[in-house]
Order: sequence, then C-alpha cells, then structure tokens
Amino acid sequence: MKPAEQPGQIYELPAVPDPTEQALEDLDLIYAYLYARVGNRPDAEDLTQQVALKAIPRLKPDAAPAAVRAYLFATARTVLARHWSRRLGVPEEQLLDDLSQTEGGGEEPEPIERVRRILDALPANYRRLLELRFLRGYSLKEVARETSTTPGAAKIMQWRALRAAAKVSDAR
Amino acid sequence: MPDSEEQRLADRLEALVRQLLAGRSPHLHVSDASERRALMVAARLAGAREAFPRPTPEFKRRLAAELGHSAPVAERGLSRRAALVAGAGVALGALGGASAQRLADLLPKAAPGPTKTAAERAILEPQPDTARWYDTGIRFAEMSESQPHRVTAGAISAFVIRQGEQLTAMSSYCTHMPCELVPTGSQLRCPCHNLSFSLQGQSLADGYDLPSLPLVRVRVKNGRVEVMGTA
Repeated sequence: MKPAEQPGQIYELPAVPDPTEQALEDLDLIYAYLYARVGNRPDAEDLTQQVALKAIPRLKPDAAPAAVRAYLFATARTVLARHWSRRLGVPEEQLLDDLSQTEGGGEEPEPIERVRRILDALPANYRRLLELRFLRGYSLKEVARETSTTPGAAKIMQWRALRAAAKVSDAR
Repeated sequence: MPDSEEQRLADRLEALVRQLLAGRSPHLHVSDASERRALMVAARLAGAREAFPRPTPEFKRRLAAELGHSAPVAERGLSRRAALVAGAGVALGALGGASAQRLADLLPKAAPGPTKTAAERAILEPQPDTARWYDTGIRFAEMSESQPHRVTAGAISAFVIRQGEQLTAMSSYCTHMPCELVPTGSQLRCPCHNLSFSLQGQSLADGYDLPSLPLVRVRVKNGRVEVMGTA
C-alpha cells in the first residue's frame, strides 16, 4: 500500500529499466495493437517480429520508458501500413495517413470498445449479423438459422453490413 | 435482389472472412476500395474476438533469442500493462494488488487452497450487496446446441452453453492463469498457455490437475437467459 505522502519525506524511485528489457516487455502491447487490426495470429506475430527487429536495435541506451513505447508504436504503425499496402495494393502513405488519423497516440485503443462503437452505429440487422459471425464465431449457416434466412442471403447481408461498418469506421 | 457483381463481391469477402475466422492470414487479391475497406473492418471485428490477445510464449522466446537477449521474456508471465490496456481489469487477480483483492472479495466460496476437484466445483457468487441478475439478451429457444456464448455480467465474464434442455454458465477465465478462454470447436482454449477445457468446464490438459471452471449462476426468465453478476 502506498504510504501517505508527508512533506519532506524521501521516497526511493524505481530504477529506470534497460530500454531493451522495456521494449521486450512492451511487445505484448504491440502484439495486441497489431492483432486488433489484422485479426489473425500469423500476421500479428509476423508484424510484431518486424517491429522488434526494426526498432529494438535502434533504441538509445538512455531512452526513457515512455520514449521506448512511443517509438515502438510509431514503428508498428509504419509496419502495419506497409503490410496493408502490400496486401491491398494501396499506397503506403495513404494508409499511414489513415492510421495516424484514426489511431491517436497508438496505445489508447480499446479494440473491443472501438468495435462496439462501430457496431452500435449500424442498423440492428447488420449489427446482429456481425456480432453472431465475428464475436460469437457462428458459421454463415448458423447465422442464417439464427436470423431466419438462407445462407446465401446471409452472405449478401454480411457484405452489406461490412461495407456499412467500414463507412462508420472511416467516419470516426 | 443482389446483382451478379454484388454476389461476386459477397462470395469473395466470405472467403476472406472464413480465412480470418479460422485464424489464418487472408490471401486473395482485393480489387476495389469498398472491398478493401470491408476487409479491413472484418479484420478489426475478427481481432475483437480475443479480450486481450498476446503472443505465445514460444513466439516470445524465439524473438528474444533472435534479438540475442539472454532472458527469455516468455518466462515473465503476463504484463500488467498489457492486461490493463486490453481492458481485462478483472483478470488481474493473479497479478497482485488491489485487483486481486477485489476478485477475492467476489469469490467467498472459491476456496483459497491450491486446487479444487470437479466434485467440489466452485461457484462464482458475488457478495449479496453487489449481486444482481443480468439479462444477456440471449433467447434460450434460439440457442444452438453446445455453442458457447460469451457474456459479461458486471465483473463476471462467463460462457453460457446449452446442452439439450440443460443450460450451464461457467467462468470464461482459465483456472491456471487469468487469461480469457476462446471457444474453438468443442473446446474452450486458453490462448496464454495452450491449455483447454471441455464444454463442461473440465480441464483437458495432460499432466495438470487444473480445477474445473467455476460455475456461474444462470436462469431463464421470460425465455431469456440471465446470469448472476455484480452491480
């Protein structure tokens, strides 16, 4: 428990961690950041590795913890933009602009909260379909059964719902 | 009615979604901007399936070795900051401090001893002054057989599973470390240490006598599933 602060009392400050140690520990955050944006483990691991190999050797020995983390997140944004750029054939600069506009400081995102906000802005039928499919892991067939429709119609609705979700996401 | 172009895009996107939800990297050429944006938002939705994703210990060990670092980061366990950022406040029980105390306060019947056997299975029962029933929004009649539904009820996170006419709710956190389990086929898998539980909540790990997942009180009221949680 933290002692009550008293005037004149001296507290021992914790030692500043080694930047590499700090960075290795922060990779959990980087992985979570990347996973929330690529949605699968192989890509998230690959990109986390790229961030580590790119950023950690360049850390200054006396870098403060906050600076280490900021540098890791900046590198993660660049790596992520390159990933989507190659995967989707879009200029990297355009994606970097998008990422810096929507990601703020990089560390803030609460992925589930952000997804919740996107879902909440959608019409009820789209929201329900995406919740069932993505958050509860239903197959398209199960979604169709739950929503009293056919798998073919559910597939079309999934496309429309994701397109609507993308518009909401872009607008935020 | 969808036109043929819309049908084609819906088919292609479904192929990508299936790859994502199977945990694979999606591979398919994306042709236009709307398809691209739809895929990126699908990736975000798929990424929200895990409450706090973290790399496997094997991956971290490999990476630390590649960086020439002597101390394998994998041995350090869950980073407190990682859990906080991911918003898994209640999962911090084993990490010490005030969170552990709050979690312990919620579990008067969960024995503090080392293990519990399946026969004396723990029940997550909040203190009477904080306990309340939560409407999960799930209709019992619409529940699929053996399909876990993850729900939260205040500080309690649980899986609700229907098996025949029986309804069971159990904690969604691994009893080894406070990592949230992920439904995978007919198992609940722990992403932290590759341990698994059956849909009945029993550990499937060889060589570990892990306690079963604590039960959570559940009922059906007016056809809807309600779970006992904390105010």
